[in-house]
Order: sequence, then C-alpha cells, then structure tokens
Amino acid sequence: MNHYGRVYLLLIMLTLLLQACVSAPPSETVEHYIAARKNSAYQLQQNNQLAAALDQWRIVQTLVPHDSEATQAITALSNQIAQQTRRFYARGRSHLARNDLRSAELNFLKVLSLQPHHQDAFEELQKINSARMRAAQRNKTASEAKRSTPPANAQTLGQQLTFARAAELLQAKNYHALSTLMGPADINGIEQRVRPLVYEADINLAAQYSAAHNHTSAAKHLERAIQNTDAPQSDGRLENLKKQLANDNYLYAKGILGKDIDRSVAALERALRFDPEHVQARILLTQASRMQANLKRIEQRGSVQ
Amino acid sequence: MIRIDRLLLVFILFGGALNPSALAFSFTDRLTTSSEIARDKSFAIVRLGAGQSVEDIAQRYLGARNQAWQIYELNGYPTTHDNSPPGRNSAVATGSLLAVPLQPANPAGVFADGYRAIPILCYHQFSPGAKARNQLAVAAQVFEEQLAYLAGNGFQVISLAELSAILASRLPVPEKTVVLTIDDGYRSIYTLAYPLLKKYNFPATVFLYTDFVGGAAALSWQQLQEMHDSGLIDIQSHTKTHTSLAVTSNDTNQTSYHARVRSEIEQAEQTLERHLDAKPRFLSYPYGDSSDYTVDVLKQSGYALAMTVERGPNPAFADPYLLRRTMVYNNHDLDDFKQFVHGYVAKNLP
Repeated sequence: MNHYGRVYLLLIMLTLLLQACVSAPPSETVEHYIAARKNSAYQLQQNNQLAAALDQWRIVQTLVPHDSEATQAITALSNQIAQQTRRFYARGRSHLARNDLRSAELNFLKVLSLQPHHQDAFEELQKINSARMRAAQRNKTASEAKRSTPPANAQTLGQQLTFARAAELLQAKNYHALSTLMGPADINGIEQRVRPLVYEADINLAAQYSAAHNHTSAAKHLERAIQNTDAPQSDGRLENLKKQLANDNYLYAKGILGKDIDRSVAALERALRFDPEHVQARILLTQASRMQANLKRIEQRGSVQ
Repeated sequence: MIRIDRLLLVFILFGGALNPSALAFSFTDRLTTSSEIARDKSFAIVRLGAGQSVEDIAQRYLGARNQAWQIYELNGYPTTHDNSPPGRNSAVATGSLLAVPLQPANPAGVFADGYRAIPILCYHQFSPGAKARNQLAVAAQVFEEQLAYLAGNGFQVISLAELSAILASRLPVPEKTVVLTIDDGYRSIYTLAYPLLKKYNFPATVFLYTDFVGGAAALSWQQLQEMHDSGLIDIQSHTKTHTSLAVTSNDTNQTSYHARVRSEIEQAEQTLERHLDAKPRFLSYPYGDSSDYTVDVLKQSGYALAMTVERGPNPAFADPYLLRRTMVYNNHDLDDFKQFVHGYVAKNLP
C-alpha cells in the first residue's frame, strides 16, 4: 500500500470512529451500575428490606464475583436473615399451636418478607388462608340457615344492623350507636358486608376506651375485632392496639395488685391474650397467681378454724 | 516524524479505548441488540440495545413481555406495563445495564411493609348511558370510567389463567394488578361491556350459567363464540342452573346433595365443551356459596380456580378454590372503585 493509500485508510477509520462516538449513545459503565446497586442495597437495608438488599448485593456479585464489599455484605445479611427467619417461624408455629391464626399469620409473613422463597412459611399461610375462607363459608351457610328459623334475641339485634344503616353510622363516626345495634350478636353470624363496618367501629371504640383508661370496654371491642373473621386485612392498627392494650392492662394490673388480686389477675390474663410475648405481664401473672392461691389457702384455713 | 503505518497500528491496538461507548466490555458492541455481559443461576446482566425495550428483554428471558415489571422493579425503575400509556418506559435509556431475575426475586410479593394481593372484580349487567336502572347493572359510562382509571393509573389487567399461574407459584405477583369477571351471561356483556374491553385491550372472564343462554336478556351462543374467539374474553362455568352449591334445605340427604352438585358442574361443563370446544377450568359459585364437597369435586374434575363473593383481594397464598371477589354495583362511585382495586395489604412486618 502506498503512502496515499495508508492516509486514505486512516481517514476512513477515523471517520468510522467518529461516527461510532456520535451515533452510539453513551453506555452505562459497569462501575456506574455496580455503584448504583450498592447504593440501592444500603438504602434497602436501611429501610429494613433485607431480602431486596441481599438481591442487590447478589447482582453486584454476578458482575464481579470477588467483590469483597459484596461478599462481606452477603455473609452478614444472610446470617441476619437466617437468624430472624428461624425466630419468626418458631413463633408462627407456636401461635398456630395455640390456634391464634392472626399472630401466626403475621409471623409467617415476616418470614416471607425476609426469605421470599421460604416454602414452609408459604404453605402455612396457604393453610391459614384456606381455613379462614372455609370458616367464612360455613358461617355464611349457617347464618342463611338461621335466617329461615325465628332468630334469637341476640341475632335479632344483629339483624337490625343493615348495611345501609351501618355505613351511615360509620360515616357519622357514631361508633357507639353502631355497636349498640350490633348488641351481643355473633359477629360471624351477621350479614357478610356489615362485618367490616363493625370491625371499623370496634377498632375505633377500643382506641377511645383505651385513651379513657376504660380497660374492660376497650378489651371487649378489641376482642370482637379479633374474632371478626371477615375484617379487612388490618393496616397495623389492630396489632398496635393489641400491644397498647396489653401494656395498659399490665400497668393497671400492677397498680391494683395490692388492693384487688382477682381483678389484677384478670387484667394480666387479658394482657397476655393480646400480647402473648409480654414478658413482664407473664412474670407478674405467675407471681399474682401464686399470691392468689396463697390467699385462698389462708382464707380456707380461716374458714375451717 | 510519525509514520502513518505506525499510527494505523496504534489505532487498531488501542482505538477501542477512544470510544466511550465501548468502555464496558466490547469494542464491537454497537448496541443494536441487547448483549448479556454476565450471568449466574439467579441473574443475567444485559445491556439494553438500540431500538430495544425492556419488554423485549422480558420476552427473551422471562417468556412474556408483560413480565417486564420484574426487570423494572429489580433495577429500581418505576414499573410500567404493556397497557401503560406509551413512552413510560423511556426511563430506561439505550446502553443501560439491567439485571434480569432468572427466578422471581419475590414470588409471593411479601415485603417489610405488607404484601401484594390481587382484587378480582365481579360485574353482572351493564346498562346504556350514565345511570343504571337496577342495582346489579353498571352504567356503560361508569364502566368506561373505571376501565380508564385502570389504564391511566398503571394497573395491569390479567386473565384468570395468569392468576392461576401466580397462585401455583409459576409467576410472581405484580403490583397494581386486577382481574375482571362478569357473572351470569347477560346480553349487555356483548352489547356494552365487550366493545369497551376491546377498546382498552383488557381481558375478562364471563362466568356463564348454561341454562340462561338464549333467554330474553341473555347472550346467544353465537355472541359467546365471537367473544371467545377474540382471545380477550374467556367463557367459564357458573354451573348449569345457578342454584347454590352449598347444602340447602331442599337437600334431603347427603347422596342427593352430592348428585346435585356433580350434575350442576358436569352438565355445565359438557354444554360449554359442546358449544365452545373448550373445557372450563374456572368456576364461580352461584351466590358465592361453596362447601368442602364442592371443592373436592372441582379438584377431581381438573378445575384450577373457583371464586366466592367474599370481598377483598387475593394474596399469592390464597386458596385457589375459595378466592375472594368484590362485587361492583351501580351505587359504587369511582372512589369506591379505587378502594376495590387497591391490592396492597399494609402490615408492619420488620
């Protein structure tokens, strides 16, 4: 190739290079992408989304298998997830054994939020969901059968609560009137679509009574909200109320322990129904029950003498 | 003086480094197609080529364009769907790197702040104009407003077949997803709802009780065939005569009850197969009533899903034979509708 030929070839190649620079959009570099994934992993971790954070680190590792920061983060996160998963799964099983489906469900959901592929937790959730739906179907059939027979008093009260009336009272925030119309009727025996409305009223009344330190009434409404199998999936209010009322009852029981041991024991039992993991309530209940038994023994001896 | 042939050699050896687009892995990568640059058992890392969309990558790696949301989500982009307004996926520029999940990252859609659940809406009749005449009918104008709301707010309307795959853990749960169903088989499905569903390209399932077909207010087999052939409308079973499949006061003994349930399901199935040449796989219980026995019959007969009328959305771990559905009546306004299609169940899970 002569000199001009070489110059010509060089010009062609430079033109091609320029064209490539101009026409191709700037590509994202691997370094930039890795930095973005790491940043995302830290943010997710901060927001307690550990499973999603772990995925981001694994993406980094897919690109750079020996990235030391990713390797360390994956080890630490995996350990943390495994530890928490074991704890929540065991709690879920324990609640299930006590037939506390709501608490069991919550713990199995926690497991899945940490380990999205946890098959056992998924299957437990399927069983809980299925049991709940089957119960709702049975209640529906039973309530339809009841409607064909003269209703009992309690049922009559529940039947006065039509959907339109319940919706009207709820909109006016007249929770007391709604609850009065509901009366002592079985929550799962009343009309299907009225149940979520009664649930809303109960949640609000429980919160109001709790604020007014009326523990017995607050507990009554909270217990009915818990029994309400057709309640909408809660937005955390129910769980918060359970914790709050458990603590209220514990403090109340502690305050009256020296004056009225029976009421104190009843309040502690309520506290543990709402939060079975309230350690202080459990300890105090053990002590109070022992005191109660001792007192009874003393009373019995006194009456014998 | 620098010799030109040396310049040529330098250019050939190091020229690639001058091109900023070639910095990543390959000088020859002109980005005309996506290139896979890394892979392990969980993820493939690909570069988005020119003229290529995330949906194309989803088709190649995940088997369907509407699974692109998995890629958007994993890479921190706002989720879009095929039926989203055009241009929304422009957030992902050509040349971007994307991680593709080779197995769903979060199949059940459970997160630290709650979980995803899919609402199934249940309609019955439609009436022309803006105001419906009876409680079961939804005015065509109102129905269109509802569909427009779904289309304009990033909702994905999926078929029951897709829901079945989600509940069988073959597909992960997408966010903002809805299923549309229409019970009974009123003619207004064909005259009013079907044109709107075609307009928005939304799939829906008609649950038909077969004795109703051909009645004064009912669909004809010809109309059913046309909708079935469109691929947009799925025709499924709502039993033969629309009697309750729970035990009723007319069921004198268990044997007669069992025979009645079997007959309702099997005869509807035979009729649907005869007219539409397709065996039904889904059933909606008349009045939403079921029983353990009915569920057993459906399982034995190869049905994949069955639905009640218990309100609420369905999580990935829902019972496929006792699915919740939310009825839409004429007294529901758009605010009610927004609540019905809200599928995320908030929970404090950390």
